Amino acid sequence: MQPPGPMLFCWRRQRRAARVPPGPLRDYLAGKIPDLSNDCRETPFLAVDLETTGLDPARDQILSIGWVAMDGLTIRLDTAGQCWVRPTREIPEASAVIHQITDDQAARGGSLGEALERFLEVLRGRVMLAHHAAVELGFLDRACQSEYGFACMIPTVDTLRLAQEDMERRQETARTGGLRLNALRERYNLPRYKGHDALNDALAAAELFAAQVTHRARDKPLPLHRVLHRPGPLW
Amino acid sequence: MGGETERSRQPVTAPISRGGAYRDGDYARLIEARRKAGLFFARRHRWLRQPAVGTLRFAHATIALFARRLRSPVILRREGQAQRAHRPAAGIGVKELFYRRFWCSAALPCGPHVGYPWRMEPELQEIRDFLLTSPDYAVLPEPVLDRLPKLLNVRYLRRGTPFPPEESAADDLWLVRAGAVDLRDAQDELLDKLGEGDVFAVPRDVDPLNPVSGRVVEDALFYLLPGPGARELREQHPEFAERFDRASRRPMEQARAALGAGGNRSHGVLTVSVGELVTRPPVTIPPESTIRDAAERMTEQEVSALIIMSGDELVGIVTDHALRKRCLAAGRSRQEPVGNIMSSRLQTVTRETPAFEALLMMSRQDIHHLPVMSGQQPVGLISTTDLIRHQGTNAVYLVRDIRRCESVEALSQVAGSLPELQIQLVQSGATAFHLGQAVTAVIDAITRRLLKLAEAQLGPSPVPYAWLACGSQGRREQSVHTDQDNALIHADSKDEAVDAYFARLAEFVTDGLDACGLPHCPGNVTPANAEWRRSVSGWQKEFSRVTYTPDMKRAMLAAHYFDLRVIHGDAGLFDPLRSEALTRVRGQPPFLAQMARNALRRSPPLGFFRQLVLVPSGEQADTLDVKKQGLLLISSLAQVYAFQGGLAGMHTLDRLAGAVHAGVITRDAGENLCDAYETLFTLRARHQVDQVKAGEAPDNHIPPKTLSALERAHLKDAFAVIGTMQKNLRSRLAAKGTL
Repeated sequence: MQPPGPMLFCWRRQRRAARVPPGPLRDYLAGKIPDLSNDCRETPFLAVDLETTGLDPARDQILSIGWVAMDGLTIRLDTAGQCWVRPTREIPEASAVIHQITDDQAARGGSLGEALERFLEVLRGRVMLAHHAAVELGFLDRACQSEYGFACMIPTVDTLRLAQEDMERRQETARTGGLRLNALRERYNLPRYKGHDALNDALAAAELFAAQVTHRARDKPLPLHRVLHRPGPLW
Repeated sequence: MGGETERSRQPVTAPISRGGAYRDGDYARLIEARRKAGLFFARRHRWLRQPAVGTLRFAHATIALFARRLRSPVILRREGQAQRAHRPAAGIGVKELFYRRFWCSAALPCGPHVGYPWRMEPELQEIRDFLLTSPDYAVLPEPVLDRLPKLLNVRYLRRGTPFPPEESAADDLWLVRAGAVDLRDAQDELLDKLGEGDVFAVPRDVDPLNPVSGRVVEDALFYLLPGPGARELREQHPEFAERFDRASRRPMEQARAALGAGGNRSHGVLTVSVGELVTRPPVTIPPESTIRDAAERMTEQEVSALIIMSGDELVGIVTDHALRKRCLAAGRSRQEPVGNIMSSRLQTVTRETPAFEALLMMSRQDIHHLPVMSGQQPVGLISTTDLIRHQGTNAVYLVRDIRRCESVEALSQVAGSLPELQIQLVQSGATAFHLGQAVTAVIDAITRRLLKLAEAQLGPSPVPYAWLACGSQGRREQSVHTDQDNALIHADSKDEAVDAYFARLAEFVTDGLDACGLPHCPGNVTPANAEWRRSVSGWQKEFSRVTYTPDMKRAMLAAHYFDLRVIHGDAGLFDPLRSEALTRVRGQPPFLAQMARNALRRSPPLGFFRQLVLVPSGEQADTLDVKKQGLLLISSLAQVYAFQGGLAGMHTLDRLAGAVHAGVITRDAGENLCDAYETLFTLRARHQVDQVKAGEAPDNHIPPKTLSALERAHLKDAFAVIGTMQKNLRSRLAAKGTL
């Protein structure tokens, strides 16, 4: 038995697919969403991370997209990929400090359309996985809107949200910074990665998700809709 | 888009297929072709003008550098050719390697819009770097390592999960990125522990008699190389395959080898037993023979000592030394029976005694010959020379040199070779027990020599006294980095001058020790301090004071007092006092409880998730104090057990063994603690050896970063054992309010 939210989402997604003009977004929407009642450990995921010039999708731009696919809880590094986007404005210093992409490097990137096309192709048939997915979803929706005229409807799992739920269940209050990717990884005895490019962070989120699911599910089944999360009015 | 990709593949091979050697224009042509194919943006790059030059011999390294950094094209020149000569001489093999491996393979997985078409995937660099830290993967050549991350899967297994998981196939290689796994045999005996950087190869066929099963004991992240990829690697790289054949077959031996010291273990004096050193049956003589006969016999047989046999019974030994000292110097007649000058209080060893123990026995008692017995029959005689043949500098030499020193300066010079002794012992694989004994023997000898020098300078002592060692020296557990902990006991006397004499004696000796590189005790535990220099009745009072109504401060003092050991002087002054106190405290539950609380003041530096808790800041930032946070905790625990069992032993390992024997702790617990002690002691000793070799002052602060993954896992295990034993003691204390 599935809750109504995800079903509504699937249905609207199918309708959207019919209205979108042919192109990468339509191809993507035509791909089926994995069955929501399936176990998490049999679902294909794509862990994603974006590096952006800031946090506001309306003002800021995507600089790079990194991803790595997970089949069930096995992370497959052969699928790891990353592409860079050439921004139209210069990169603010505050964000360059974080992702360490300089204007020079970014200038070698491709256009947003090319990056999106490649990304949507690998995302097809997979559930997106991100840490604090609201940022990724905001930017991707915005990008699809500008490139194809429609927002993309990506089924998503948010590792930050899962961590929050875990904490609520244990009636803990989160400390400042306690929900950061690295702090959460430490809780699960995962190593600290030095690099902060999009791919590294995507990989970090994927490993965190594998840990979260292993700990939460133990040996019982954990259907996808129990971890699925898609913020916003649609849900 | 697909067409674009198709097109982009072609120009890559075009300039190469032209054949012949690499020429100046090729590079520019290649770039032009790729630019047209949309492979990267046409930009003028600095590296087009500044080629890197490497020689043919190091072509591989140069190209790898080029591929990783990509600042400039590579021009390969013949060795000896002038750096300026830009006439490259790349052979065909190098050229192929250059283009095929780095150029094409890097370009293909990236789309035409990707910014760095020529750059190797920089993304998985971190994983590649980690592969390099694993001793198994590090044997692979660089280009293979570069491509390897792409072949891996990442898996996370929760604590308690069976390992390898059911779905894993034969030949899968599991590399532990974080966490720990225990491997056990069918009898549930621990075979091996996998930690960060260790690799497990899933066996092709499970040995039905001895199946190895594993369990994840700490949440773990793995890099998994699936079977087919692993098989290919193993076929192509025999040196890699060999590592796994070994890893899967003999995990424990590997672990032991990893922790054991390097060098040739089988020939050191530490692993040889006395029996192996005995080369000839002993030369014997009856006690009735004359001294002259004995001397003739020794000359004829070319030995330095004779065993005196009365019938079938060993009665004594006569040595060169005895002939000189008790016959010639004493003016005895050569016609007297040899029995008059023999030493009859004999120390003996058996064939099985480790040579090292014999060595220690000799150095501790200042003797040079030991009869080797098999049952009641002497089967040989070993001398220091026999042992020294197996070991260059050693405790015996040092002790002998120390005895010959006539001044503090000379002593301090000899003492300077103490670190060398530790280096040698560690390298020949000495255990914690032996190492501690050897170092302590040398420091005892230095102290004794200083006392003799002091007596020579200040005159003989007015009343009998004994010099006591405290702390690790008392327990015979010292290492090179140590300071003085001493005390003094003297016979009761009303005379004021007596105390003044010993104060001066203490000052002389402690200053002398300081000059020998053993700094004054920061806690002022020294006989120069009147608190630690008492008469027999003074010590008696002090023992009762700290044992009857203990508080934390007194418990700390008591912990010190019970580790006091006589190293010079009249043992009869102190030993009865200590053993009497030891019997008494056994029946004093409040004292035992206070000692237990004292032992529980510190806990091992292991966090909740089994991470090591390091010194946060200061000079020792990011290190572990293995002495204060590890070894001393075990020693305190052992002392509490010793009180409970009324054990007289001093060495921590002795006490633990005794506690097991007396039923104070279980056999498992005792063995675990002994292992933990060995591990910590060995790691510390090796750390100090590294420091001494690097010209630094040795200390107890180990930065865990310098340890291998396996050593770290062992270290964590050691701390975990201490934690468990402390918890047990604490809960016993809490349950009954006493022990």
